[in-house]
Amino acid sequence: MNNNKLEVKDFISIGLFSAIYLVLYLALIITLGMVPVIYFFIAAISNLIMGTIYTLFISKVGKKYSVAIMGSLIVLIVSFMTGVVWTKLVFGLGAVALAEFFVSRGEYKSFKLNTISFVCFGFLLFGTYASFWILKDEFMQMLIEHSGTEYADIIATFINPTMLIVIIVVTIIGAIAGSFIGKGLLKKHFERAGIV
Amino acid sequence: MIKIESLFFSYQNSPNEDVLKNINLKVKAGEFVLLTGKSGCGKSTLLNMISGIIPHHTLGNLRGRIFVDNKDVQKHGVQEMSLSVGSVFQNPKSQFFHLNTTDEVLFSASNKGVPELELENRLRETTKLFNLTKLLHRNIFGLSGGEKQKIACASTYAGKPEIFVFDEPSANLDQGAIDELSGILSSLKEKNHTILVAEHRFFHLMDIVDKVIYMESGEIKRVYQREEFLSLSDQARKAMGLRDVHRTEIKKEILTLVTGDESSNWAGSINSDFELKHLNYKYGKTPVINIEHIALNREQVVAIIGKNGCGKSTLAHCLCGLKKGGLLLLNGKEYSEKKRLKAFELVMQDVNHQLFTESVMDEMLLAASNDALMEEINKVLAELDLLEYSAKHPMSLSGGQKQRLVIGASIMAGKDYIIFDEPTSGLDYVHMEAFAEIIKILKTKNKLILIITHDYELINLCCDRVISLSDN
Amino acid sequence: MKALKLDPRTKLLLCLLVNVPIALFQGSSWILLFVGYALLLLLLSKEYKVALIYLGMYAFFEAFGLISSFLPKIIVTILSHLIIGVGLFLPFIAYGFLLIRTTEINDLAIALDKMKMPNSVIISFLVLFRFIPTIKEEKQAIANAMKLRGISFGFKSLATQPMKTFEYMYIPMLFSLLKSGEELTVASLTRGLGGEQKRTYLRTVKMGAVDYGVLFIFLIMMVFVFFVQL
Repeated sequence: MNNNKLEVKDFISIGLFSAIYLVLYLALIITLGMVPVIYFFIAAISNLIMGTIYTLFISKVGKKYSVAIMGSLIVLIVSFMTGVVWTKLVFGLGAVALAEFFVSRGEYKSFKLNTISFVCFGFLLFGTYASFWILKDEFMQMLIEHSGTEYADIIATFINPTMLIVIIVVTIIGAIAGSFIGKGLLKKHFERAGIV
Repeated sequence: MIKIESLFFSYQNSPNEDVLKNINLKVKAGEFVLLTGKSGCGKSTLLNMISGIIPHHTLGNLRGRIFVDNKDVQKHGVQEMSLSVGSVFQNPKSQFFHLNTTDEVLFSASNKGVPELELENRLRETTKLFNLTKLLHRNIFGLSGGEKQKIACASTYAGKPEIFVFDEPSANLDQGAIDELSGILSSLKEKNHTILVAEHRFFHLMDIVDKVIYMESGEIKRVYQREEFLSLSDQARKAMGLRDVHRTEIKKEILTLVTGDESSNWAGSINSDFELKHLNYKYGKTPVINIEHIALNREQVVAIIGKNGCGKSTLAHCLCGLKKGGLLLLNGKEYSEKKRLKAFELVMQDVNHQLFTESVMDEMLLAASNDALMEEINKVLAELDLLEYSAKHPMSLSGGQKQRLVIGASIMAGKDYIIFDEPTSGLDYVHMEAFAEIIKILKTKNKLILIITHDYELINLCCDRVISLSDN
Repeated sequence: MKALKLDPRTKLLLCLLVNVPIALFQGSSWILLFVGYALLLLLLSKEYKVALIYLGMYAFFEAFGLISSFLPKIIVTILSHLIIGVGLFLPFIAYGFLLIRTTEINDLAIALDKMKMPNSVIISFLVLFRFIPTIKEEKQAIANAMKLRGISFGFKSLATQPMKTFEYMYIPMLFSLLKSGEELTVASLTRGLGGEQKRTYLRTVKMGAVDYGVLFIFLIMMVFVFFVQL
């Protein structure tokens, strides 16, 4: 019965792993979300942690569309909980589609393609940051009308192109490191315990 | 109803080892069959085969023929088999799908596409039969283990299978919940359902059982009629590794503490090694446990019994310093919560939570103080029968081995007070006896051992006295 | 009066639709009309507390704008991502609140079924929410076990040896959850999950006149503002 179709046991794994991802992500937001600057690097930090979940998930399920379903669930739930801004959906689902594309090219077995896939996956909640830049102009206009130019200026200092590039690069590095950590932990624990 | 002919089975990952050998079995409609035998004798495998989990979900090599409700199990998937067979498992925590009790009760029926009107009828009927009125429309996470197990039975029942299969349903339940479970089982039998139960503790089934199947290393050794089984001598039964057929009575001194009633405090001898005073723990505003005074000495094994929800776990958590409460004196010195964490060990019911590292040796080193000698570690491992596993990953060990590893870690950490939370739930007689031996070793090391348990056979084997907590 | 009960599909649609006026009328006070509409629906659903929390968030945003010129620059800087976050997403959050606070997971799953979502998505979705409390319980149990073993899971240990501390928490949790997942799979299969038959429900989830009314009013508001803006 080596069929490549998703079955009930896979649906349950998808739900389980999405739940772990969501809970850990929300825990990070709650603890680090208030800290200035670091806020923008939560995606990078979370990638360090989630690499293990992703690697474990792929080796457990490893079937077509599994990554796509898990990613879409996470994107949609986070979006609907925090307000569905189109940027979140476009970036999130885009990242998930790319992740599914790469991981299935490597048939869920190539470490290199899995890592590339996870780099894409690592951007699935990037839409929130992206909104800051994409919706910047209208927002600044509103701030100026509201509270004056000076205020808007301070806030605008954060939202500059260099910052955006830094965030993207760090997020990618986080994802690559996370993937390696995941590989290491999988070998150290789960393979030795005979789970995968 | 069930017909099995010369059946062999081996799991996919160890194809040369037959876990079931030459099984031949016929179960008639309406029969109540108990499957028993030591852990690993193949009874769960056999049950999983009847429900179709094997070979459709858990893969392996199956030879022979197995027909359930006139269906060839090998040709029908689990979902199809679920129309005829309903299963209830050991762990009440992990077998529910929904968060809401009402949805859970109807889970099986709704999966089978039962029409809406009929769903309503089934809910009404099931509620009545299982007495669920108070449990409906609630969050399952707020229920006790016994209540969860009841919901699991109800959900299975509402799916209207002909055959019911129970895999150690009582392992995690207290005495009261076990009684309720056997009530459920006998009403299922009255409705003429075919029932198979695999159990180690089966005294509660003795009034309803028709046939007992004794299995040993994958084979059916013998099939007993009820009377035949009941007339087995104690000695013969113990030699088979089986537990008591009768409800065990505690043969030790019992001290009853009525929590919340100040007059019922029990003062042990003064100058005791261990004294707990004025423990009054509340969850929000509801009092959970209220104990005035307990005094005990080391080199003792004390059982703590009482219904689920009487505050046994809270007591353990307070003693270990995981929860705040009470005044604790050890050798006359007061111990704060922080210091308690260093003096006490709690061996949890689910020991999987307590193993952190990548090998048995690392686990011991993590617990040991820095200057622990290898010799010492090896000695403890040898005493606990773990020496040959010292390079293995803790998660690859068996349940009993994991438990012993946690015990070993607590010995290395130099903890003198060890609390066990339900250490023998789901164990057969042989393994329970082995556990009692370990307890005796611990006792000689001048430790105080507290065992929270529902297992009266264990108490008679190794405990010195019993504290019974009751809430009124 | 009975609390308003909308079909989950109506609420999902509103969450998406609100993007249109916000994109079209960004920066104008007309947005407030749509925020007000969400609040009205919250009140009709008798979710008074949530409505209050939302108003509090709004008040914080407004008040901060007013007093910001008196605050030291550094404070404004430190809080700026919150200001942007809250300010940018406030109108969306109103509809998000309406969805999460007034919708039961199982009703939503039925709605998804009626939207012809595949089984894979619906089952995964339900399992996801079912495991959230389990994860919390596991975390608590492991944190207790760590304390007993003398390993702390706090800021200090995370700062000094992050990998180790993290591994001690994370690995037992994953092992435990994988085991629960396997047990849930077996139990669900024997209860017929994923069978050929179409699932049935006792709960009723239906688009009623009220749902269409609520959506219609939203559209009217959009058209109205569009012409006024013109």
